[in-house]
Amino acid sequence: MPFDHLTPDEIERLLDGEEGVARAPMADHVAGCPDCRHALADARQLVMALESLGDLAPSASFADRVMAEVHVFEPWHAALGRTVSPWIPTTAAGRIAAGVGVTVAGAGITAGSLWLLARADMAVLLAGVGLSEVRTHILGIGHDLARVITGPVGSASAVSSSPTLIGAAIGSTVLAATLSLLGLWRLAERTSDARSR
Amino acid sequence: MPSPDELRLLPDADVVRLAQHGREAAFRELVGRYERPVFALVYRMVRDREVAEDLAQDTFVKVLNHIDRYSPDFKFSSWLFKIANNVAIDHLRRRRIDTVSLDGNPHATSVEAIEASALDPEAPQESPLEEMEAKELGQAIERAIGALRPEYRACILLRHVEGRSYEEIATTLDLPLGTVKTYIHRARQALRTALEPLRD
Repeated sequence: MPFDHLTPDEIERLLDGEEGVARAPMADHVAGCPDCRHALADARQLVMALESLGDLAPSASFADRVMAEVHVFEPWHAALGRTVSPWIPTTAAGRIAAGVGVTVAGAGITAGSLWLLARADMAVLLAGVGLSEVRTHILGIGHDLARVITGPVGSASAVSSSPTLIGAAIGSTVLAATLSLLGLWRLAERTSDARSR
Repeated sequence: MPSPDELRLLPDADVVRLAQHGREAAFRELVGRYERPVFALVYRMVRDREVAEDLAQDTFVKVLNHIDRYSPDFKFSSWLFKIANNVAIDHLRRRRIDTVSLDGNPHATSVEAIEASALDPEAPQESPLEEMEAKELGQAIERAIGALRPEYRACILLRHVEGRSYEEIATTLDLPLGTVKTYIHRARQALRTALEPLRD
């Protein structure tokens, strides 16, 4: 025999079906050697037993316990896609029409923005005029209220006060009046309850 | 969003992509596909059912909470088994109370002596006679697997229980292909030696 018995490593390589120069001589030796043939059969039997090992399963609640600790997070682009996708036409013609529509709308918005920007100076001027008118009106109302409530002295003070101060004064008066009305209403309720007993 | 039946037919990469888009059903599908093999691998590594469930749960939580890091260049199962193996190995390292090297007897001076220490000294020291009394080849093999060194154990389980190729095992365990083959050969030889009395 040209071969001594196969080493354990050679048995393993033969079992794994490794190709190589030495494979044919090893296979020939096994064919003619009962001991090596028996060793190879033992090795195959072990592999078969390993591959037949029983299936193992975790407890029934395993998946739920895992999911309780997993953070399911939807990225913003996925959420945006999910929101927009129902609005996207499914047919090619519909998508083309939608694309044209979006392009026209986009062009219109852009043109409108450019037109507004071109007239921004006029818009600022008009806003300034408008604010001036509102200020004048607030001052007038404050002046009239002060004359009615406090007489000529109060009226003179209101004229010399800033709009902010006048606004705060008007607001305080309104708040005080509201609280007074609420208080009177609660008092009326209690009186009614007392009468009904 | 695909229905549950459609989800089951999708390849792993597509299910992972749906999970990356925040679809809870996709997460559950991944757990459903791999809870048994992951649990089986971890259980056969640590030999304790309760601990194995906790470690398997940790594996899935780690993987799914970082699902955005998955690259489709690699198989999802390889990544999952890699984490599972690392979790199991970390547990076994923490459990050890002595400083026996995972590479074998530190006093071994020859290849044969190192290989002779392929058995895990922390594993249950049941005798072959006790195995014979069990008279169940499956039980005997399970015990013999439990007595292997952790690295050998992981390789033999991934190869012959999970049916992974040598190349995939090498990728999963971050080992050279030659080392994987050596570990599997050594593991099979150690198992045959441990199961020798059953043949009589």
